[in-house]
Amino acid sequence: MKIALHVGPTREEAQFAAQVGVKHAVIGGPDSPTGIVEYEALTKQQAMFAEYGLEICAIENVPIHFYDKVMFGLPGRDEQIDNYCATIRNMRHAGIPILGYNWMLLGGITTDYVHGRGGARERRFELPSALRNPTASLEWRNPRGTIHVPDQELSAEQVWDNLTYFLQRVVPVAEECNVKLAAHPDDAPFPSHMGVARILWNLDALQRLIDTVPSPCNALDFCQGTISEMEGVNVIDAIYHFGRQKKIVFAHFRAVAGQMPRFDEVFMDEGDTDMFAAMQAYKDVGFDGPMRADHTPGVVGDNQYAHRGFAFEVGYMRGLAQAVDRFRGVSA
Amino acid sequence: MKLALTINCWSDEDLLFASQFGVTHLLAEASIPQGLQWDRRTLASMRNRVEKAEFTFTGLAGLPQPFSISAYLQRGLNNDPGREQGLDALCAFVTEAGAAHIPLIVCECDMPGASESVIAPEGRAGALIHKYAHSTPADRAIIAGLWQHLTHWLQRVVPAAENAGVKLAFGSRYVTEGWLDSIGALQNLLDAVPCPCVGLVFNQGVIAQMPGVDLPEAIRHFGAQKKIFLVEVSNLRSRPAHVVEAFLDEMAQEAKPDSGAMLRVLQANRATGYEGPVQPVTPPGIGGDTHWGHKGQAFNLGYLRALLQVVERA
Repeated sequence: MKIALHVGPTREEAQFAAQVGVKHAVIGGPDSPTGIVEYEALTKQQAMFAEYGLEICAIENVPIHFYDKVMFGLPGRDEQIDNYCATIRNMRHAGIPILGYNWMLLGGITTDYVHGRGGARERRFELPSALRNPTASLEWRNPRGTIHVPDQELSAEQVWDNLTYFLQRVVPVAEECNVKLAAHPDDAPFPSHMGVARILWNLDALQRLIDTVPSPCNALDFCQGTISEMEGVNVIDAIYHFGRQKKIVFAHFRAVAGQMPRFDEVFMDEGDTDMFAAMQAYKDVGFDGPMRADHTPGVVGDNQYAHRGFAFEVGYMRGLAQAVDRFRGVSA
Repeated sequence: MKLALTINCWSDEDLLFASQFGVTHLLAEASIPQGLQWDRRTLASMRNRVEKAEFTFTGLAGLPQPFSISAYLQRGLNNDPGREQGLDALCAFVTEAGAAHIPLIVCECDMPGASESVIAPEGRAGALIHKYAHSTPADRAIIAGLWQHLTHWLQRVVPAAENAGVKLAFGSRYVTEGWLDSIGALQNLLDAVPCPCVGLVFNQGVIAQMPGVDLPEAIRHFGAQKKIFLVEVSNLRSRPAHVVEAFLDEMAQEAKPDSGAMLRVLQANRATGYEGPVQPVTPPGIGGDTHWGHKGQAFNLGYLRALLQVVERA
């Protein structure tokens, strides 16, 4: 596996990643007026990263307005799909093999931030609170105030239809370009918010996504944090289940305390999951894609990129990975 | 084993930092705010700050500057007659430390002036690292003189420490050829004035630099005597002209020690029944970091925390 970080476009971020030993960068798809992630934007970022020995191994999420009409099934979705396919072709030319995406029509849901270990700022989700204050649970996503409050209801089958429509048109292009699509589960994992269905909230749904358009390029961004939030789920078993199908092409390493209907995001070393067993499971199934440190609790004195928090997370991941290799008799 | 760290205990930010990253045991840098004296009141205040923040106070990470062993040894070599008064003051300090319930003091006894370090952007991706020049072997007569002075130091200070209930943990920051450069030399130090309050800081990176040393065997040797008071992990690499620092995880890229060296060190400590503090030492400097190196320390703590969890679960 490749220990990775989400790396922004500044030299400070690139240098930090390289100094903590990361060689594989995940980037957000750069915005553009065309609705396409442009080839030139990718190669420019690749050239700068190369100075620090960093390789872009995945794009995680294009701007939401590149495919919002597809998710909601609105007029104009075919043009967005064409643009999405153009992005995939640009990725092929740039040699970037993974495109992560999510199908959360209203985005990720958080209900609160609480004081965790030593007063660190940690994300919390509580279902009753999300249901009681639905708009408040979206507000954190954009402090400037422009949240997306839906003007219609969508059932789970409507949202599935929209996803299927997307996959049927995009997966063949991904195959042609040898770019793997990696779907992120819905975080928080619950079935509906403000009348809009959330469909990727349990393991059956993730399997359904894979089976809807069978292809090596139709796979998962296995967000370990989100999956361990799912009620009753054993995330280690889930790694084996999807990993043995070779459907984990990208992973997020994250720890959570609690499960639905309430959980807190915590430091990697203090969650409910046995992280050593998780790391071992990824290695057992032969996962060789990027695994990135996902979120980090907010710590004292940190900078805008949360480098202290991520330094701890990357160090922890590296220690675990080397220890697993040691036990497996592999040179790390 | 317990995750430990040395910080400036007078800094609220650093106390929070340590707490947030899961540190449970703290050592205090040997510095005090201007205007305070190294007396029991100041030392108790230091300990209180640490304990009020819900840490276990492991002790002082070094002797205050006036009491440096290297400086004492140098005065001995110079035949400075004032050095006995210095020892009187040190014994009084140790007594104060005992009265303030300071459980342990780290005593670095590097050879005076043996190695100079420079800081250079030669670490991973330009990280700032210390480079220690290889020392030239000291004259045998000088080494003999140093042992004589160190033994005298121990004869004076150890009884004071024993009376005060303070443990002294001896170690060095680098290996100097001819001086504390073998397991036998460390054992000689322990045996010079035998006492339960005399033990070692087992810095695995430093001890790995000793010629021909087998780390797990060394741990078993000292662990069986219960002489390891504090474990430190560091990653030092010998290069033709220097010994250089590296991040803890970079050990995996070295042929020797092999990728499991740090894990094996922790496993060996656990096998001896060691349950005490384990701390990372100063990391390489990351771009944009503070002078103390908060980002680098966070990286080290994450790495070490993972290994400790692996060792504890086995």
